Amino acid sequence: MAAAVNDRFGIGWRPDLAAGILAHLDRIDIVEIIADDYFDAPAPKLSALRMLAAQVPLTLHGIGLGLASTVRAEEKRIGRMARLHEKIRPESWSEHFAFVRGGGLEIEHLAAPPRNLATVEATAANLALATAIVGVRPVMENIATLIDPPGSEIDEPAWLCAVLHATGGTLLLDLHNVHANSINYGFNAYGFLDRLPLDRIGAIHLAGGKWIPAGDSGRRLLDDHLHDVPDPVYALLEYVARKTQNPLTVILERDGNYPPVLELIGQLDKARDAVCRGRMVA
Amino acid sequence: MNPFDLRGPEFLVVYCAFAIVLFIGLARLRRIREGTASQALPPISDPYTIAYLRGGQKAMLEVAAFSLVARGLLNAEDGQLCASGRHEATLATEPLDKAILTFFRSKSRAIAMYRDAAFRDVSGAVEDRLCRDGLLPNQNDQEARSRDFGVAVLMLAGIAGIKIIIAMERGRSNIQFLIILGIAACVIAYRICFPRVTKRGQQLLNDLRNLLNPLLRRACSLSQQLGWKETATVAAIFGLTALPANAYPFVGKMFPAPDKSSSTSSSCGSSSDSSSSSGSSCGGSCGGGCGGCGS
Repeated sequence: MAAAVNDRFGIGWRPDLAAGILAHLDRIDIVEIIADDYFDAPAPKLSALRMLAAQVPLTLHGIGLGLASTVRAEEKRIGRMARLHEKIRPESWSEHFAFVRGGGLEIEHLAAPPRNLATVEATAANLALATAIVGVRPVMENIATLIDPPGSEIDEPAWLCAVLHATGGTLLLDLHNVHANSINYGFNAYGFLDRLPLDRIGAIHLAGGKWIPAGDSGRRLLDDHLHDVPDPVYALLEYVARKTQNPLTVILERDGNYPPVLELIGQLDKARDAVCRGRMVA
Repeated sequence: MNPFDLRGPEFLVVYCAFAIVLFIGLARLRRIREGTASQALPPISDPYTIAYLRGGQKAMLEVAAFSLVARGLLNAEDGQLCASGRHEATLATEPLDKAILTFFRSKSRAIAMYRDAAFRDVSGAVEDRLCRDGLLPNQNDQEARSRDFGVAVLMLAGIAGIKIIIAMERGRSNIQFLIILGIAACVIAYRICFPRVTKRGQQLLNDLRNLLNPLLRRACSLSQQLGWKETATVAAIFGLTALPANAYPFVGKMFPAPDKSSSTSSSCGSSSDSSSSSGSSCGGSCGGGCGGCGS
């Protein structure tokens, strides 16, 4: 198979990267915006976002809806996403298979839900609610977790497949999250990918992390988005490109410790090469 | 009641109110005609074109010269510039870059390039593009603006003139305030009718400033991470004075006159933590990524 012409490579918008993204827009196919940063944005800030949307496809990435929860998602919060979506008209929007609040407490963190039938059904219900309010179904992202969720009855691939099947939705496949979880829980990342419906991938995230000490004097891999994408993640990307015929939208996430933007663009080029190699082997 | 029969102070108040309504009308008329909806994609990735939009040829030349110094193709010393001799084709492909390097083949003061005819062709091409994109007023826009201004001056001067004549016929000689007010109103009308950029162009500049404002607040700590093109983009939108002086000490000597077209001034306050961005990250406030939260 030749390299797909519709594969796209983009980057997450961060204020520190703004000048670099604008200066090198010709090498960026799509930009991901953290939606929560703009829910209460004044009109001039939204106007600027609309101007950017006219130049390059935008996708909104939510972090605060907590849709993967047995607690019904808050319509008020989803409404804010809906209003932003209406104002910006992005190409798509996404959220996480995570819960962020419970028992009246804000966790302020993306937490993995217990993987069982109850959370599958509840997540599907929340996704249906979000889709109804926003008007567009979100692409949903797998998350990294340092805690194996207690109360789990199935493993992550089975849970993801169940939710995707129940909702008809698409997956934002975060490959560093797959990589980190495979390291931390001792499973084969490629086997993990083989069990996912790769034809349902709506987008791919790439990121980096670092080793942190674990309680048992071992170490774990933390998905902190503050480091370069490691080689194993590019290898996973190449594998996905080999396994699916669908066009891939690959987005690089970097939340801090920023190198010069050209280095980040270089990582996008590396991703491009990985996808190309995968396509050519397929 | 005939407003021309009003006493002096009362007439001045009515005249001011009339002028304000006229100014609002002029601004709205120009806004509707010049519009804010873009007809073509504006060139937001080209710092030279953006600089021209913000401040004309002078601003564009300053940003281009700055970027050439930042790339090591121009040497800056005591307000003078000289080509470094490293004219690698891959490093200076832009026509403006080549023109500036040619101009500074021998050492000259940086400000010498402002009025040199050598840059007329490049500036003309940039201005033509901005006019075609509706960001600078084209011929039709200028004619419409002139018509609006002409009508406004006729009304302002005409009304003031009629009152002055009536006042003088009635033996009143305290007409100075009205004359001053009339002149001031015409000047304000001129400023409203003939801004440098169109409404669309001003909206683009505002949008770019809003996108980059958070970065500008951290420019001091980020200057090491910004490549020449990113820095040129910041300078194009905000002016060279927005760049941290300690990171670019040659700027003040190159162009000592203040850049009036910038909207901000350089500040290099307390250093900020450059290891995490402002705004949300994909993992919330714990510093982790999507799922990680440290030990």
